Amino acid sequence: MECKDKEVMEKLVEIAKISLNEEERKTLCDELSRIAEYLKAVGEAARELGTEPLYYVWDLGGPLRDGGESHRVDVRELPTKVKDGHIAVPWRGGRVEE
Amino acid sequence: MTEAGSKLFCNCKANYRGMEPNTNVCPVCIGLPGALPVVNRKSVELALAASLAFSCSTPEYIVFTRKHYFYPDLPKNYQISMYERAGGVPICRGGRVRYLDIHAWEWKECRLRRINIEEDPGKTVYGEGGILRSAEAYVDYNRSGVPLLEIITEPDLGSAREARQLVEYVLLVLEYLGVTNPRLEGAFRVDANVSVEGGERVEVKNIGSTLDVERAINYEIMRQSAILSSGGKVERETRHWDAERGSTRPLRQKEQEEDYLYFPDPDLPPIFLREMVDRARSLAALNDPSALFAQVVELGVSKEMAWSLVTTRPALELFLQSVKRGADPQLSARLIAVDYKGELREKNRDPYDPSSWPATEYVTELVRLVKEGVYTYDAVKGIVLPKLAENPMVDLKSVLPQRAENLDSIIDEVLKREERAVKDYLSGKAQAMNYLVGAVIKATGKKALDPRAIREAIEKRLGRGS
Amino acid sequence: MKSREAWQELEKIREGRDVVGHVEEVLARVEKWEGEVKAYISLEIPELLRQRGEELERRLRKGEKVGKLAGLLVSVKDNICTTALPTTAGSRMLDGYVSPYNATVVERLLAEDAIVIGKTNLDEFAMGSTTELSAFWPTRNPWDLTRVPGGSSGGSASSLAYGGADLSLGSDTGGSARLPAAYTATVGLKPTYGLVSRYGLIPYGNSLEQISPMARSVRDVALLLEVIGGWDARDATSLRVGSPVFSLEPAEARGQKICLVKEMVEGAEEPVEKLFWNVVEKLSSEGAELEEVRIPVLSKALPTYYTIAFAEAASNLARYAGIFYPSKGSSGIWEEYVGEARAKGFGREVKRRILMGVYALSEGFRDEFYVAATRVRRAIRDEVLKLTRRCIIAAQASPILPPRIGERLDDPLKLYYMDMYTVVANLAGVPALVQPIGFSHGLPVGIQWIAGPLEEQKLISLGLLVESLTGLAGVMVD
Repeated sequence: MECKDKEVMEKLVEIAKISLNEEERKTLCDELSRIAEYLKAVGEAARELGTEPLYYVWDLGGPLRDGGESHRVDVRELPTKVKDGHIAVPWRGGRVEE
Repeated sequence: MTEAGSKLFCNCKANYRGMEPNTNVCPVCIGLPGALPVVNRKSVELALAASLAFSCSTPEYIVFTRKHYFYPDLPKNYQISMYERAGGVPICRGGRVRYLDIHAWEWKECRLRRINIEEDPGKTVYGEGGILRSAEAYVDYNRSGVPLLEIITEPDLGSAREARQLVEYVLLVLEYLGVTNPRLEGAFRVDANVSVEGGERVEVKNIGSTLDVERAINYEIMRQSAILSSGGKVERETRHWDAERGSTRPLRQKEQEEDYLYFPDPDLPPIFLREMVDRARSLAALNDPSALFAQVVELGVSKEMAWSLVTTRPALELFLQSVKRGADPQLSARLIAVDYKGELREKNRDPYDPSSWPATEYVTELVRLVKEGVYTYDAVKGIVLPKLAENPMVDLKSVLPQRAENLDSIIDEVLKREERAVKDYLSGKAQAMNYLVGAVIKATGKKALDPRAIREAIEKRLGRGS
Repeated sequence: MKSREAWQELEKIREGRDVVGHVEEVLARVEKWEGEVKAYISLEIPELLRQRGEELERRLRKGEKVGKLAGLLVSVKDNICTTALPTTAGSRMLDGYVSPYNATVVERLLAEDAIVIGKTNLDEFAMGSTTELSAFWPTRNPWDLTRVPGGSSGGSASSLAYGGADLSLGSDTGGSARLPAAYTATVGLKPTYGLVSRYGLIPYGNSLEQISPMARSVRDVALLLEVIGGWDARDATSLRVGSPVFSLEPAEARGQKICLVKEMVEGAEEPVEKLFWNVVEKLSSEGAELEEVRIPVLSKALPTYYTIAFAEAASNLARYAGIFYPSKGSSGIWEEYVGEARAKGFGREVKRRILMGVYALSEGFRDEFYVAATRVRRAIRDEVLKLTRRCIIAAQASPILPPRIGERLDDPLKLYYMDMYTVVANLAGVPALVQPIGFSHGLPVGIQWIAGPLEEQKLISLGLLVESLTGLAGVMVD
């Protein structure tokens, strides 16, 4: 990951949905390139080892659920805006109260 | 999967219809921090049965994948879905649907690419200005986490009509398996990819009925052909079907390649299918609409009637039970699939509700009475079926046309008395028969007699009967 | 230096000592130290704690059966959901958030009549090794207030080290319970992956982490693990095992097989090395068999761990988008609103890890980073499982003594390096215990033991043996 190449950073920020100003982008990009440089070792190691991926540490199957009680949540008790029972979120305009 | 009981990963209800907004929610399905998903067994069993019904190669185990994108109706901003790469293992890869073209009465085939089990997002409604301009979006998460089957076909369909027939057949199979009730609101959605020679592929989203599958695709073919024939280019894009306007409109301006950051959900270890396969296989085998259709046709029933039976499961069950108990197949089919079903439609009763249908014994009895000449089919159709359709539980005897006990001697008497009318009739005056029938009915003193049966009896007596 | 173990308090309570008196004693420690140490993000109202104590006393007087932890004060890391107190995960994103449900481990504590005294500070979303990255304030090390207590469970460790709790629940994704244990002369046990339910633990690296018992002695840690361990239907990754029951008999040094893995022993600074070898040689002189081993792939453990943890973190933290959580945006446009809520709610390290995780998972990089790391993980797991079949692994807990506050903040890689010995157990899923072995210039030093899957008993027995050699069970500041 090269910070001269701004494209990758732009893409990461877009996918991660975190608003960053120019300066933050710059410093973060430098830090990330260093970290990426460090993590790169896993690619080489994996090629040398030739092992299969391990996504679940135990080679066991997961359980299936046959029913049970639902723990209902009252959304009005969460820090969210409720309007006529619906969760209201900003969409294409209108100010949001702080 | 409206019939899965609970949501895919929590114990909230799979069928949320009729509930107040956001009352069918728990920490898992609104993605609260720390809540963890656990897979609902029934969802997997049903999905496996569907995979087997469509001849998929099913894996030894399935692995759920996280698919990331930000949207207000997706509480975790990732959807737990399936993917065939990056460690994911979908429930079905490959496979095919053999579906019936009911215009040509021939089976056609469409290959499947894969089937995914995934969670449905919540439902968003918009205020004034709709999705493009509304100030706020309003989300109901009652649907969030409901199990979905995503069935992806190969580009094997040549026309809008084929697409519709395929969708209808797939829904029929899923209904037979007990996966879904396709008549429930929002039970299924269709995304159609349409391309016309010389143009790029266009995806049409938000198609909510089988009729609209045909309408939307035809519209799109027309639209794209018009662009191409006027020298324009059809770009790759995603469009939205507007059922009210009967047209499609662009959904996103630029269609950039999305990055969904797929990786196996670390909260959900692989689910091994071995123990479920036998049950799912027999479920699929016992509920195969094409096999049932063939079985009915084999009994000498016309394809149209057979299809009418198969597409209304309670009708098919009633038919098969009746035949099993010795009723004549053709008569039973006609009575059930054509005339009784017609009565239900006329009376606005739900033919898919088993309680709209009479008991098997009623059908076998009616068919026997017609077969033995006790009543004509028309008498059963015209007098019995309308009453049954109104109340299938009614005592059968009370709705049967009454029979005069000593009809023959009454006829003899009347013929003797009405010598002149007999002469008229015999000399070719057909309307004299109506008079005679009326006279016989009057002589019995009863009303609910079958005039046609009396007419036949008189004709027989006069040596004219067939 | 004082010494106090939770099981002793428990015995006194059962013998009729008043519970309220015990509550007062712990509250007095909080009164004395909390202002400087700042271990807690939220503390239960003292009056409520006294009431709980009185309630238990009444039940004890009536001769009613009480739970296994009756009257003990337990501090809970603030990334574990509780309904009674807010759960912030140390983040502005969740400042003031109250979970509508209790984590399974909290339910189990309450069922055994434990009293939750408060929620402890942590690096934001458990991402850090010093507890300086909490969005609220850094927690200080009671043994030296200019130094960090380690992280991310630094609040839990400090609350124990100054006597502000009898027991504590931490979490351990790459050493987050063990590193603080090493820095505060307390004990932390990272259980076998799946032994303790994660339901209600705000996830950071789901495939790696476990809620972990922390205490001032091995026996106390065993007591707490007996209560929180065992299968939970709400966590699909939890193992189908019952609640563990531990024997408290110390191991015999004779016949004990201990493997010294070079990659997990070498590279620590001198005072740490010295204390490590002291203990190992003492065990050897009493009859333990030592074996030196090399596992070269372990040199890749740290980048492997961080790649996987970042990827999982980027995914887990996607949900914080301003809808259900306290940090909101101000724009009326959805995409901007989400971006603002996340920019405002997350601290710098969390942003780094999210962006790095997105990078590791994105098309074109996924195979080289995320998937590659899972491949190396398999090699590491297999090596560790092979080794733990024949011995307990002895390892350093930390390459350095507790650093000064601010010392490690400038460079993320320097921060990551602190976890070099602890991440192995998380990658391999196996249990690992850190316990104190001494002090260097007044600063605690710990040692780490690693056993095979579900072999917590071996760790506890060995830990008890080591305690008998060091005499450091129950230590806390004056």
